[in-house]
Amino acid sequence: MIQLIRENLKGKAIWGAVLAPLCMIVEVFMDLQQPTLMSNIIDIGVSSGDLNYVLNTGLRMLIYAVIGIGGGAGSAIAANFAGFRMAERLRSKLFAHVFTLSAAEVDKLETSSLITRLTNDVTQMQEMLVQLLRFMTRGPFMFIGGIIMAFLLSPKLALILVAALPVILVFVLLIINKAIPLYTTVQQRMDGVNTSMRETLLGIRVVKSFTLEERQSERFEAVNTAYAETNIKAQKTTFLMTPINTLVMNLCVVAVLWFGGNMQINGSLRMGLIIAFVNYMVQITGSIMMLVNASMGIARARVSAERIISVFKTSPSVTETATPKAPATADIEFDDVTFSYYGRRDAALKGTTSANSDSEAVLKNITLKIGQGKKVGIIGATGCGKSTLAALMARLYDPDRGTVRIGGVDVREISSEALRKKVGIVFQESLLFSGSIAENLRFGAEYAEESELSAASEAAQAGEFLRSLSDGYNAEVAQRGRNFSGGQKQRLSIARSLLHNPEVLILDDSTSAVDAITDAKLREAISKRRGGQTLVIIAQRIGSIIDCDEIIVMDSGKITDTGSHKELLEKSELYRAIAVSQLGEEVLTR
Amino acid sequence: MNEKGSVNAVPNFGGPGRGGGPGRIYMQPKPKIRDARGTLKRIVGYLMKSRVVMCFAALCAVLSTVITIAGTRLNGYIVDTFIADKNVRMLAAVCLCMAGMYIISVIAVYVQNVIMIRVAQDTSKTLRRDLYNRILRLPLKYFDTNSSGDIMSRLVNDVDNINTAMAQTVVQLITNIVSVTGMLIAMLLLSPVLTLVTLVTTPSVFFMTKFMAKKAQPFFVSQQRELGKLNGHVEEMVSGQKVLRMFGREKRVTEEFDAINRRYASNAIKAQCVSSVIGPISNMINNIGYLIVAVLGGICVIRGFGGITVGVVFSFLLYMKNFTNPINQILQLANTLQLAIASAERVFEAIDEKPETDADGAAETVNLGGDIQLNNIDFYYVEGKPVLHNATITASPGQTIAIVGPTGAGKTTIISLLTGFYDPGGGEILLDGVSSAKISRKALRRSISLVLQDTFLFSDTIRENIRYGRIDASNLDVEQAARRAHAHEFIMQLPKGYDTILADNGQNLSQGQRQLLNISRAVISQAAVLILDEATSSVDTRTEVVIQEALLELMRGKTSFVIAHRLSTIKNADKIVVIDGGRVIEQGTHSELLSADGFYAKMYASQFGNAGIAID
Repeated sequence: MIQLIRENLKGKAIWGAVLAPLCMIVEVFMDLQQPTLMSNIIDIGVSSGDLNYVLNTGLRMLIYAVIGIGGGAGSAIAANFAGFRMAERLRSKLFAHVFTLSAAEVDKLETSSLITRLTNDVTQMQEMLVQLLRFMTRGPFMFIGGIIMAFLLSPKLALILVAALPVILVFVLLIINKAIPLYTTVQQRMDGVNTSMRETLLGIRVVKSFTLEERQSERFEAVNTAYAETNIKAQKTTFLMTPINTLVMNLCVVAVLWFGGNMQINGSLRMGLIIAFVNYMVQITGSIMMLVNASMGIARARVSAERIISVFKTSPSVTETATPKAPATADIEFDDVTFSYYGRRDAALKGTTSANSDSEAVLKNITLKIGQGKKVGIIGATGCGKSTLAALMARLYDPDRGTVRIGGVDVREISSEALRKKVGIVFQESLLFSGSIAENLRFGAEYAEESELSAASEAAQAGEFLRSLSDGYNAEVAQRGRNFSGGQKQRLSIARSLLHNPEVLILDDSTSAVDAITDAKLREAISKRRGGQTLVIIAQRIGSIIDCDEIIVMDSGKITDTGSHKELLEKSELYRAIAVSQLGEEVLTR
Repeated sequence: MNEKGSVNAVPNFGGPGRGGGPGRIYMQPKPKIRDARGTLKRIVGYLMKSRVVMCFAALCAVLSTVITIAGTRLNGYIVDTFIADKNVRMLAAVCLCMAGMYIISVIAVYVQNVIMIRVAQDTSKTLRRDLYNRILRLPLKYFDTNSSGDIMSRLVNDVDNINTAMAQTVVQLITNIVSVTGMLIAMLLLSPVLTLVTLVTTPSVFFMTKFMAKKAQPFFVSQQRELGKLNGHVEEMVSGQKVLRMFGREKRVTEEFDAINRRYASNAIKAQCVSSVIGPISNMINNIGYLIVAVLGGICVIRGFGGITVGVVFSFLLYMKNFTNPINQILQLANTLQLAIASAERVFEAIDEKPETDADGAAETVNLGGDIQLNNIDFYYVEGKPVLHNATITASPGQTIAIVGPTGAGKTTIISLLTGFYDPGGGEILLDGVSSAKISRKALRRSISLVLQDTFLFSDTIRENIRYGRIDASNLDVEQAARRAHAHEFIMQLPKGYDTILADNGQNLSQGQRQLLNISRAVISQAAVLILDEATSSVDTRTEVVIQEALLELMRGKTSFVIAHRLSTIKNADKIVVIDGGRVIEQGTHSELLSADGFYAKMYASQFGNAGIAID
């Protein structure tokens, strides 16, 4: 964690980090002077009736207070400066790193978790650094300084502190030890409540249609009560801390009064000293609580630091070659390709041979050729490896074994820039980005003209609804395209890729939310405008790929057959089964 | 110096991070509140159940505060009287007395805390329960118009805000008010002159702080705005990473991010600088007040003015600390309270949503034969935008009706109407000749089983998940249903069989297996009417065959409405209803519709026609 901070504390931020504790020491020093000065006013000024002394010392106290405030403000500013600049650097580096990672690593780390790491976890680190620079300086200095001042005032009375402090420390440690596991349970119980609610929200149709309201109610009551009860238990424990601390403190005051009073009566202790002494005790116990809170904060930040470090430690499995080659054509070739999502990495970790992971392989020994300019369909059940096949063509992942070639060149030897021009995928889950529609469409073709935009949108069957928008191409797209329906987003995504115009265009089930008639029109329009472009259509509906030059049938990570619709009806049992199931017995008799 | 972790600081394990500079509390943008008084009344209503214990807690609070006041005075008294008089005996007596008082006070504080923790948690629990139970009974419209994230946030964050406010505010308010009045009386008794000085400094601290906070507000607003942009950008770009990669935009996005990131850091530093200065300055004003009293007190003692002694000054200084702290705290509480009231309004808003209701005298039980008629049904989600228009569909017992049409034509709306999720805007639904309005929703739903395209399973055992179809079903019924739905085989292959616990919507099962469980659930419900939203995506072909068989078994003898995508289902249907643009445009059997050569024929041709199947 410290290393992570050190690496990102650069430039001016270092000065902030140095200055903050120094300023804090000034503030602590000034704060420590006040009680002594106050006691002087009482003991020297007041008892001797020296008005000048009272005023002079009062002025000194005021000056000290101002200097102290300067120190406090300076420390806060410097610490925040260091904290935010460190966080900025860390966040930028993390973000850039996330974008060097390939899809395999992003899948593994999970998108939602990456977002939390970039936002919450970095903020935790920033707050922690500020706390470290300020309170972790203030706490110990105040603690030690307070004890020193107390000893300077009266070594005998300071012995009370020596007796009391370990008591407080022991209690604090005991309570923390007991509370931490309790709060972990609270967290789990809270997850239970959340899960129950989320489940009801997701499954509300099922709950209602089977009239399960009462049952769900009972189940919620159970988790809800469990959550409240553990929470009460945990809070009761932590709330012990304050009264115990106050009690020890107050008993100390009584002890000081008793012993101090006795000494005063014997003439060995001045009265003002008792007052000063009580003030130091308040400062010392305050610093203990501060240390406790700051260390809790640091403990929380450590978890965040680990989560951030684990992202940095993840290195991209897909890396760019130093000596890229340029493929001449866009012929796609798979040569005995085997791929599993976590297979290779895990196998390497375990030191086992890759044969073991074959059972989990998503693609098994795929050999395949798709000539430039062909129109190819891929069909098969959910999870058979269709999308993975496409992802490998665009080198979102590297195969465990075997080679993927484009134009005869291994994709690993093509620069990513060149590859993007060769292969483009339209995913099923279509995403738009905030901005205007035109900006979104120009994603892959920055200088596309208005006429090109409209041609692409028409082909993608998006023209009609775009015309119905009052702002047309300048219409605002909300974050992730929330303000458009699934079908509209899919059609805009297709238009975006048509403008990008890669040599191989892959439609990965990208019209799933578009109705059959529009889907047919769309495919027809794309086929018409594609020219020499290779078109790969991945589909669930057999109707979407029926007129392809070649259809690839996949099952459990293998290619079972390839051929035209007619050929496959004759030779592929699987294809026949799909066709009969979707189209009925007549397909066979035609 | 309250924000530097005073003795009274509440430890905040597991709570939200403390961080941030002093003065932060003044900077939060004001939450929107519509009816503060009414909302507060309702919260108090929730608290009324615990009024007895709460009174006891308040008593404890008063006790401990009075002890603090008295103890503080005793301190000064000791200094003045016994130490000055060298009366060791009395000193011992008073010291012992004080020790006893402090012990009592600490116990009182703890008891009061424990009571309030329980009250706050119990109230939160009740709020959560009320909210959940209401949500369960809300009409579907609510779920279609409110995001689940929003509802979750009401249950989690808002209830939490209320909880914090209750645990802290009530007791602190009592303690602080008692403190302030007690201290004020004590101070007045001690020295009216010094009290006057205190009364001048304390409000000026408050107004100075408030003034500075107002000046600083824009800085915090811009920090908040930049933070929103930063988080939004992260979320959007990281989740769209694959797409961005397809267009080679990684570098561009990173640059954009760096710019937003830098802007945020600069804004945040500015805002923090402002608050870093405000905190200490208000402390300084506080301290100056303290100082003035000390010096003035000193002068008075020297001059022998107003009978002020060293002990009086000593007590007075301690009182002052205990006087200004509660006032600052009360002001902070106002913020917590505002936040809580805004949260409470959001929670109550959901609780006040109108639940689904049945017409008066609606039948609680029905025994449907399966004759269903939709007569001239109109429906709209938004007025002026009809989703269904004058739709008439009839089904005789045991018939299978296939509903086909393009996406958005209104097919799912028919499901929603048949299950009573929504009520028709015009026309009526007759079940065995009885209007659906005269049947309670529960009775209606019990006689209909619904199999949806997206499978949904609860985090419970497989056995219970099937039993959800009919809660009084026996274990034997569950097994029989699973057998009929062809799910028994795969269930028995699981290591724990029917007792396998499904996690996270059954992610540990394959999609096909999840569908079979859903079908089992529909089988066990023994309803006379089946509504089936056929899956568009195919699972692997072997399971597919099993699912088809299971569905046929399920449909046997039932009146079935199927939103059909599969040609075999459509063709085998007794009647095909073609819907487009909210209207029933064609009805009939497959061959009838083909020979009519209308919309259905066209759709059939575009979807299946180029398979080379003869259309006749």
